[in-house]
Amino acid sequence: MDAPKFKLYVTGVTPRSRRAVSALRAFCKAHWGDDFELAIVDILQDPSRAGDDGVLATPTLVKVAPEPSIRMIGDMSDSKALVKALGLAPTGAEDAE
Amino acid sequence: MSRHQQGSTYFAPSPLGSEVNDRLSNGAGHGNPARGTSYSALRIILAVIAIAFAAEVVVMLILAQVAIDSLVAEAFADAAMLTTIIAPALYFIVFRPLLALIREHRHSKESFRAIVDKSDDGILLVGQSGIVRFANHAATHLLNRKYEQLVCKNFGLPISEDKTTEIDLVTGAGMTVTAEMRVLSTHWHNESCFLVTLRDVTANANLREKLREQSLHDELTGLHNRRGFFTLSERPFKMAQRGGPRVRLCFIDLDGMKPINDVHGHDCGDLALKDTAALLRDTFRETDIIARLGGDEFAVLCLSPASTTEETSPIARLQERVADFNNAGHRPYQLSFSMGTVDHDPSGSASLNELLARADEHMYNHKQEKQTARDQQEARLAAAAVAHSKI
Repeated sequence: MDAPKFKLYVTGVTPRSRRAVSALRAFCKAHWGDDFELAIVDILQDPSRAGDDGVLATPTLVKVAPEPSIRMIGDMSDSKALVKALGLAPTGAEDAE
Repeated sequence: MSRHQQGSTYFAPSPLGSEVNDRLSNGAGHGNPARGTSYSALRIILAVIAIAFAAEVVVMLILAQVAIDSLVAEAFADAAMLTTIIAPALYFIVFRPLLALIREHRHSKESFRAIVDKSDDGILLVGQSGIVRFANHAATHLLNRKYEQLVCKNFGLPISEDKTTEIDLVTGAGMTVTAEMRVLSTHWHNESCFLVTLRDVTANANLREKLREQSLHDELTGLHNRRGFFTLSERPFKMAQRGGPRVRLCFIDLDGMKPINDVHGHDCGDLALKDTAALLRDTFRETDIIARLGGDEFAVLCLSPASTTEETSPIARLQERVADFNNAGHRPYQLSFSMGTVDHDPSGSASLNELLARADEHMYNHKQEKQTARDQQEARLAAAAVAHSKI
């Protein structure tokens, strides 16, 4: 299976954005080790991207690959919810939170 | 059951649903949806009955006038009589309650619409694919978009159900509003979907962020304070303990703070602390956590330190910068630091506090070494002076 590719839209370098990025990185590491791609898009640094990509709110996570593409919004530290939304098998680490 | 849950239960029968359907089918946006269709049909039926009744009465009268004593005349008279009895009965037994029911339904629909549309909270109905099915007035206002610009757009699948999450709503190019998002599952037109409520908390979030910044920062130097250091270091330290990126702790003490205060005054002392902060910022990386623990003591948690070689270590870099600073001579004092560093051992079980205590110990040893070296140097100079005077 190809390495999953994600795009995370955040707003500036706020604690909330930092939390979303680090929580998502930890989640991806727990599920795919180093075999994943995560692009961070700061809509304050690149304002036109939100409009072009139709992003209505942040943090928004887009699973670019594998198909089908899914767009998710909410608390990226909620591993259980992420597992459910991405249709993954739970690792057991989610319960430890 | 929470307020929202009660709302969702009431939501299920979906008077809103028919309204949304009206909006979607006629593209009326926030205008009035088509109303009174059943009313008009009822009026037509009533009018037809009334006309039929009137016509029969007229025919009966005419027949009575021409005095046609026949079966036809009787039949007409009976029909008119029946209609006279049935029509009011129909009106009272069927049409009046039906009208009342329709009025009640319309009233309930309008009340519900008023609640949804006049709510200060944004309300979105989001389908299982993340597509917006409905947005109330507050939601369009919060997101700074027209109804048509919002409905059928991909908001994203709300991942955290039945809990409050803080998000930023994109209101324009580079502009956001902080909102509290609450998500509940509901049904709409036999489809599972999410009821998303959005509450503008920008003012609260800004104030909270300001207070948080103040509580974690040292006002004089702008560095993190002791609380900030421990708060921010907790996560990377735990990650290092679980085998994540390594961390190194540096304990730095500004030497001779008391003489600076005594000789040059407290303003100069404050300036020396600010200069120290600037040197530390210049020496360590942006991702490192730099803090003034209190007085003349500073600590730095270096995240993923590249190497421990003397040339590349931050301590060596700091010494270089201090030498440059002192050589520039633009202050009435010279800066000097005693430093101790400890690399975190992932196989050990030392806490952050213990690591800090060990780094402090190393710093103290460094200070002692410097003091001993200074004492020896002074002793040598004194001996040389004595020897010189004897000569």
